[in-house]
Amino acid sequence: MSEYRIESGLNCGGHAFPTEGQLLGPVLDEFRASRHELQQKLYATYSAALNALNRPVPALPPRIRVTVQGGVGTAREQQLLRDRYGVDSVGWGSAFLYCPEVIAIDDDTLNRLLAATRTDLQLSNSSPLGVPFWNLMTSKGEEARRARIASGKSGSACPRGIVAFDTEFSPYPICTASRRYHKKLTESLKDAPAERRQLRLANAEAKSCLCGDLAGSAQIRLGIDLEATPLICPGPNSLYFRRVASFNEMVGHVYGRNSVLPENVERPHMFLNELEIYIAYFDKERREGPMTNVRQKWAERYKQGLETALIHLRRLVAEGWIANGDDFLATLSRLEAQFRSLIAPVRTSPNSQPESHSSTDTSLPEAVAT
Amino acid sequence: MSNWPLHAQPLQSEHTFHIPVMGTGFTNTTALAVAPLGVSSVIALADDTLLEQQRSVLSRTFGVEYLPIETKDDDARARRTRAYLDLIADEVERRVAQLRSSPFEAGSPIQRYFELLPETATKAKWRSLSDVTDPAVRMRVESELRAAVIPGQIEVNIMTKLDGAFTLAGVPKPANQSDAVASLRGFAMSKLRSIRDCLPVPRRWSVSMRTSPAYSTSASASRSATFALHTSRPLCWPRRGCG
Repeated sequence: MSEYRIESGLNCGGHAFPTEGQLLGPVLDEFRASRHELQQKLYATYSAALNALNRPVPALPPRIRVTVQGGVGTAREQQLLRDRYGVDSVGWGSAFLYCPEVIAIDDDTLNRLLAATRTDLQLSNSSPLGVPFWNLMTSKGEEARRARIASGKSGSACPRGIVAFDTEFSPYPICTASRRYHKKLTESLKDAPAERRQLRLANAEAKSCLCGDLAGSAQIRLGIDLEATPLICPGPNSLYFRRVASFNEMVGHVYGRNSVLPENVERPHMFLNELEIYIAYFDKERREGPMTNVRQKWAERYKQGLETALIHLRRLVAEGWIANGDDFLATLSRLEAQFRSLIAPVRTSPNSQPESHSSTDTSLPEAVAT
Repeated sequence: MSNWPLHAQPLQSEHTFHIPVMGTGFTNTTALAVAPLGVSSVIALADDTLLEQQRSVLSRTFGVEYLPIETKDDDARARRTRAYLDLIADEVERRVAQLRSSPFEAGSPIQRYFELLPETATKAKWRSLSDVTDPAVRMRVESELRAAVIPGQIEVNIMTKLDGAFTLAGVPKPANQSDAVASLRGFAMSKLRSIRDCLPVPRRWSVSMRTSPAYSTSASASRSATFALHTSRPLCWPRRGCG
């Protein structure tokens, strides 16, 4: 293993793999603190394996790189990640979406992104993988999906099948976003209670043709398929960038030579944005279903993670890493109050009795692969 | 203990940021523009149909012969992946060579390379070039600067859990043909180089992977988190003769 690429669980584009409340700052801090130990342990394992193969062993542990991505937007944040946490490289994703010089984004999709508001960009249920997915709901691909539903023929033709993993209705896996799946699902629910039928159909209809339509922009840009209906999956941080920039401008922005961010828009620090998204996600998840034992434990870990983050973020200010510490702390306090109100003891109602849903409960956040 | 390169890492340019993978296509041509300028980016290997389409168009643009690899062809996904990565690697290498040999004057590629760099010793040296009047010294500094040009990495993204083992028609794929395994093989066969190339004993590639149950397609796979296998592929890195 030569590189560890760390990504924010929620403050990133595309598929989101929420951690159980562990935010970027504390995770990076741990990597910084344990980096040497990590390197030594890897070296021991690696050396033993090479020895067993009777091959020469390196005299020194090979270097490892730690890189990070997820919500970075200013040169100061770039510098914080480099200096405070010692990361080797910082990934700038969503910002570069506005740089058609180097990214394969078509004009129409770019214009839709430029016009997007906060509600247009959702942590959606669009992915057939069942993983939360940041999706621009005003994309051409989403329009096409809604048009298929309106025409009474929901589901895509499934041109690729890269995320075809469902075997409920067929001997081999098919995609939950496909027309085929939707037809089978509708048939199977013919005699089901209306509520259940609607719920399952709505869930299937929400699925976008990810592998077909995510390629749309690239296909249009190269003239492969001008009729493509592209999807785009920008991270929430992208909405702070409001104009097209050249590659030179964008690199200048990364290093603080110039700025491509609009001056009149206030952009909270990337760590505050992340905290806010994590609080909103917690709120949404806890409303999703009854508090089973499993969910209760998840909530405890999540709370603990956020508590750790709050302490960490205050320490960053105390250490002088934050340019406008007062504003930062004011926002932090507001978010903390929001968080405290969420975790305040809930009134017990007759319905709060845990039900035996644990085995069928699908609203738990996905574990994050590491 | 002997011939191990101490860093065991590809040479990294002095840039301290990279462009991460975005979607399945947004960053597949990014390296062409940014790698010569020292910036690393990532090609998504999930969609081999797209990679093949992109190769057909780009081959024409670059004036390279295009031999189609059809879906039904033997080992198509791995071969399409390899062919696409090789096309990008060759073109980037050509552009890097062009950049290296361009003159140090306003608007030239090599000038742009150094303008974009963060403030490092290399950049300071480049800045000092304008003060050098002695032609002999200038030539020496220029050649040192040309040698200091390090291209950005061309990395690949393989979603290892997206390892479909059936064709669209529902036919099980042969052993070693599941999606992620085929992508990995395509990458391994390509010109892009991995950390593995600095193993002490050079040897030819022989990638034969078995699909472990943990990666095989099942209903539960769609519920488990996907994760990306990120492999750094340095280009223009000392070749060590391993295939």
